[in-house]
Amino acid sequence: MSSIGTGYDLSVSTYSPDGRLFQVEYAAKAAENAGLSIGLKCTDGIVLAVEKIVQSKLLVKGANRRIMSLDNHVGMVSSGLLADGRHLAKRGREEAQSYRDQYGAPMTLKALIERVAMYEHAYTCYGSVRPFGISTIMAGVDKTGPQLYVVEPSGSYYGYRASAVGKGKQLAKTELEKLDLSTITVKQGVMEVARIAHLVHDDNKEGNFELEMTWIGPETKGFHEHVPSQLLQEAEEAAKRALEEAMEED
Amino acid sequence: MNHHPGAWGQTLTPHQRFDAYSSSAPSRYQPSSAGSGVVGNDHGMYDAGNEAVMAGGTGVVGHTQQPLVTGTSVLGLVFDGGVMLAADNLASYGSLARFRDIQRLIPLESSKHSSSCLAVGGDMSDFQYLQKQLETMITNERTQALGDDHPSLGPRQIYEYLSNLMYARRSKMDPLWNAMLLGGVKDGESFLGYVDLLGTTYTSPTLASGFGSHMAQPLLREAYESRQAQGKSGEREGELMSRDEAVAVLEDCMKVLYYRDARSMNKYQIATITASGVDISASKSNETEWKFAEGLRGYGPQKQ
Repeated sequence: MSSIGTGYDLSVSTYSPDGRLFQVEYAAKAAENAGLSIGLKCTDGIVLAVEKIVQSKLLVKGANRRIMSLDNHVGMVSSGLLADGRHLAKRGREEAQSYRDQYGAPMTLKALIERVAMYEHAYTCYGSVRPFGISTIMAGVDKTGPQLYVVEPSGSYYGYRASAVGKGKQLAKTELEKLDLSTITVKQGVMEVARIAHLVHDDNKEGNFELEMTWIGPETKGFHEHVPSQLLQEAEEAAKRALEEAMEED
Repeated sequence: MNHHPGAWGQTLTPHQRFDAYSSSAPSRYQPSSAGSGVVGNDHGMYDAGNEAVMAGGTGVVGHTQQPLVTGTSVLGLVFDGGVMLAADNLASYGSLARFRDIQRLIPLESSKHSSSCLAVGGDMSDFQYLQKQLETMITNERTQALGDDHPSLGPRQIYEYLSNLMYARRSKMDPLWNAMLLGGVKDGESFLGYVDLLGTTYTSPTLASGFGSHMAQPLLREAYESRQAQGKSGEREGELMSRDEAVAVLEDCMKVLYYRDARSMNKYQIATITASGVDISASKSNETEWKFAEGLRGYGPQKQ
């Protein structure tokens, strides 16, 4: 890539002769190589999960949470540079709050994702800034029902039934495609997402990981909350059992 | 001016209307055309058109000096397992029963592990402003509390915020014209507190604002204390009222208030705050008996 990019990858405000923005592509690379994030839209809510590689044994277990809330009814998780994710979440919160102040109603996901994506896009238009090094899943339940979107560093966004970003996203997406997404509930979703996270993760290559999971569903009264630790534990144990059984069959 | 909640919405006598200290602030927009000292209208209530006359034109900003649409007293009571709040559904315009389907109890869902509810009396527009402020603050804190670096709000924290807000506003000489009770439960611990337009705060297992602090508070205390005594002497289990007992006491107090408070209405709601959340009842009313009033002078057919 270096031979192709030479001279045209120094600024995000310069196209290459074949019409590419190399800085934006490099930002996408930063997102692709970070821990996996999964989002799932169910019939009665949404599930978000992130695979957190344990960087040091000195870190407290369960600390350093990665999934964030933008409003009562909206959750967000991103793969890539952590600080970029936090900054984007801060912006998302401000947008959601200002919408509430102005219109007296919770923001729809469609409106929120539009504003957040335009904010990200602005960082691909000027030579003085760098694009966000994150791929972001934003999901929530608004007046139109459960919604899920993914925003890329370029500022482009798409709505999905389920998606994954970060390392191993291809395999995770293939697994998500096998689910019956038109009938799945959040309870089933939690089990499936845990299974997929454990399936995609390679302990030998990447070391141990912690699974963090949040949801919005019948049990959370429309609020974005952490999946109860007991349920998460059950889901992880079931995931490990399923993997072992699959190994034995092979 | 008489700031006591019992005097809200009352008209003033000519004697009360005399403003010895010229307390209505002068307007900065209109040059002075009349001297101060007397409120310039004859009904003694707020009159927007007359504000410039009331003001002295010395460049000082004028603030609201009396409430317009008001709710009357609210009640609160700690029971076994939580807190109950009661408020009627009336918002009066002076002495007119103007809005008769207003919910003055607002649930505040600040975190998964605690629940709180606010019961508000006083100016209804200030109440609506306050509700928006609180909900903004609570949503903001709640979204941040999902991470592990930010604590979540409980009733005590909301009460502290409310107290500071009310005190800051009265110190600006621009109070939010309300008296309210905040009830909540966190980690199995009940909380009940009072805040008013002066920034005055106090907490107690039984509370009432405005007219209720005269009429209902003694009844609430009596019920609370006799239950404590019975619990201690072993006549009954526990030292706090059960849910049913608490509802009965509150219903009785609302009835007494309806009989004696001319700004009240026989249609009210009770909020029950427990560890499992806030339950706000449908509007209900009490059986009342007015036969005795036939013999009262000024009510029945007799003349003087």
